[in-house]
Amino acid sequence: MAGNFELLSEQGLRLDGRRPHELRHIKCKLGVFEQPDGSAYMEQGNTKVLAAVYGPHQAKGMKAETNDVIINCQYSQATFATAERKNRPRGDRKSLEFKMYLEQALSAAIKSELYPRSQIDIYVEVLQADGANYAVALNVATLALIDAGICLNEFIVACTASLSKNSIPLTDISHTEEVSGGPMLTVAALPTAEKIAFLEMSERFHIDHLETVIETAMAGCREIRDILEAAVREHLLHIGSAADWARVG
Amino acid sequence: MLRVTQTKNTLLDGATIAEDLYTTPKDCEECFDSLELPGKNPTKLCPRSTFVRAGVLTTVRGSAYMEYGNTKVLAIVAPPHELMRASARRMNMGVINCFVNFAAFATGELESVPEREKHLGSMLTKALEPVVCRTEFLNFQLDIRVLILDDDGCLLSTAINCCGVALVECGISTYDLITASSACIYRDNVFLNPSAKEEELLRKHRGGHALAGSDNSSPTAALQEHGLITTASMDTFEQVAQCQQGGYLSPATYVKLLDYTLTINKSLRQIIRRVLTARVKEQHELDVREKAESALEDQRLAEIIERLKQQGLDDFIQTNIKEDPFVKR
Amino acid sequence: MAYVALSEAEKTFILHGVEEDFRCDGRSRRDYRPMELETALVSNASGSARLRLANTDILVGIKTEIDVPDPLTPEFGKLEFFVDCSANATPEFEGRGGSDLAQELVLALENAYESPLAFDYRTLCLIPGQQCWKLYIDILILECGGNLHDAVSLAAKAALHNTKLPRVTASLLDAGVTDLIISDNPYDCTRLTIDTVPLLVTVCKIGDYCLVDPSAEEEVCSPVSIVVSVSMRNGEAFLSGSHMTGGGAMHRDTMRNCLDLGLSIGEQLNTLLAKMLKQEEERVGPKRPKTVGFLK
Repeated sequence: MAGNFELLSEQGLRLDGRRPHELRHIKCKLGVFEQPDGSAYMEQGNTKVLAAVYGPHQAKGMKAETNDVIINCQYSQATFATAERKNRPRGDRKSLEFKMYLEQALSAAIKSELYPRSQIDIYVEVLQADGANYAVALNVATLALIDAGICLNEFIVACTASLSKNSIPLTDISHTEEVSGGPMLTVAALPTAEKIAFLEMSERFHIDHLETVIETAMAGCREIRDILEAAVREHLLHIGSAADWARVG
Repeated sequence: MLRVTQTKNTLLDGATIAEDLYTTPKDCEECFDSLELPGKNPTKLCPRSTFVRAGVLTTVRGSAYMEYGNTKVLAIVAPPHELMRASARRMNMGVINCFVNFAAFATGELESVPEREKHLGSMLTKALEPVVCRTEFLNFQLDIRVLILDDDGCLLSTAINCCGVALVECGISTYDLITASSACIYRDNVFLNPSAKEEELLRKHRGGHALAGSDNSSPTAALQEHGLITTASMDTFEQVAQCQQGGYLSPATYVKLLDYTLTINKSLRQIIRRVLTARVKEQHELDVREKAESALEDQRLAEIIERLKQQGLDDFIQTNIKEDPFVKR
Repeated sequence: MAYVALSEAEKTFILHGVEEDFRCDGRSRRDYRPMELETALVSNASGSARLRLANTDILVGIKTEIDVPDPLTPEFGKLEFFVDCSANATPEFEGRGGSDLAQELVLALENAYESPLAFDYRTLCLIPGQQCWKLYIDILILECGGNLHDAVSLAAKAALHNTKLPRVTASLLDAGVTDLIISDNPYDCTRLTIDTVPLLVTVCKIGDYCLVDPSAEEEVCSPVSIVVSVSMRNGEAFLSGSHMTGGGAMHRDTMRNCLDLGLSIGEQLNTLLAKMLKQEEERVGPKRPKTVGFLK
């Protein structure tokens, strides 16, 4: 798709009618399945992702020697997730890349020293891919880890940002904006500690704009973090109301 | 039992288009008309002319060769060996793996061979699991390989029969003798032990003709059923080990075809029993002969040792040296 | 399948429950566990459905493509099944771990849908001999709680019902090659008739009795089960496929009992599913429920 149309119209609206700094509508739920130790589901606009966490359990095979936890991720996309049907759900280069990025980002968030010689499996399944797939996958993985009761340093949240032609930074890129050829920056961060765990960029823009775009993505991360925290609190209220520890405040 | 077909020599006759390049629905119609139609209720429920031989190879412990009409199948069973994939381990039973291969000359339709191999392999595993005493080889895997030399229909049932014989030949404990056969119904005709042509009609045409009759939605119009059923059974206690059905059958027809195949299985069982008993007798005679020969060998050795003791070593060597005929004196 | 470890005492408990027609969760031998069905979840797919049968969670998405029909059956379209066992269900399915189970399910479904009397392939035909629709039925197994065959076939049938094929008009170009114009309007579509589409029913033999809808624990207790594919035509039940699984054998009379049970349950399931799908279709306008998906 040639990037002939403007990402930002004259009225300052994007292709789907959002303002430049607006995130897509986020809906999420913890505890979707019973079999995994932790599970979560998240919708960010039209991107729908599921995550399941198994662990911590005994590490398999040769990897059992370390004193830190072994984080094993799998990124899988349903064959009907994209507009064009994909033959293989996982095992291709993109999925393996995302798997590595997920492991990298999550190892910054999980308190590794608390789970020596153990393995935590995180399986992410993308049901519908409409842009910012990796970011939403990381967000839902955080929720699933919280549902599983695994100790985290902090919420780890990812957000995407881009730059329109007139140097206005945009937050939360959808699929049409992604393929239109504009640059895309993905930032995975620990928002309260203001630390960046993972940064990835495609296409290019001038280095003078780098700081603004990163700052836009970090602001998006902070916003998403607040939304996720509200969802976790609501989940706790819901399951805790039976045991009367709902008055967490 | 060879089937001779006439081939056209395309090099000598000049450039001619191969006959079977492209079959059309009309070809299927002509083929159906050329078949001998057995009617709705066949009277003779017997298997095709069968030849079974256990113990055909020297490299493997269990092997069997079977000719069922024109279908020729070879099965090989090796004693269980350690499990390769730890993930396939079961709690209290061993694992059976079946691999089916078509020889390059076995069938004319080469496109569908890999798919059929996989399908036959999984069906064969399912059929042989009930008959083998899997508790005897825990944490081990049993590999069964089948080579199909000639495809004339009833592949799955012939492979099951052949593997059953090979299992006994190899010495693997089984609960019973397993026999299998197929029956199919196509355009109101019941074909027992369908040949390759009949199976091809059933599979390729996929009952396309049946829809013509189902357009008139009056419930009294008879439905053109079509389908193939393969049953494997262990007849001592009338146990059905596997029953595979495809197509579209009413329950009554299903049970009818099931009973036909069970009857044919019983006759096949007699044949296989005869073959296995003859094989045991043959092996026994071979063992006896071998024992006699080795006893003879022992006796000769004993005589040589006796002579050695009497003569002493030097004399023994002198008496045994012969003149070299090629040395010129 | 996700392996459940049971002790001998637990197995005996399940066996006794089955004998008294009162299973561990209180069901009789003929009862199914509670089911939740929702269609049109995935907007990228032409049709989708999600089925939740107690612990078993299946998501089906159908995508369409224009293809050339098989020369021996020029009036028939094509169906292709693909099953993906997601690692969400159990860590054993990571990577290619679930491929054996997936292959088994695909073979069972292909066998059931093979006959044109079960699924009318002529509805997928566009131009006989030249163009036809090919439907890719992609099944995603999210959680395994026993009885996968039934759940998968139910979800597939619901997704087929939900599939909207865009209306195609053709225009003849020169050289006899036909050009197809596919309508862009999302509401201008044709639907598939699913009256005769088969459903798979697993009938399990535990002890001396047969039961339907085994849970994961009951599946471990049963030596053999038979999977029948039941299709309704003119109010009568027909068998469009069957095979046995489980590694055991059953007597011929037991097999007949299982078949009868499977057919009657299959008949009930088919009618019930058709009724529920029709009900969902009729809730339009303000009564239309919001698509909830996994958020419930």
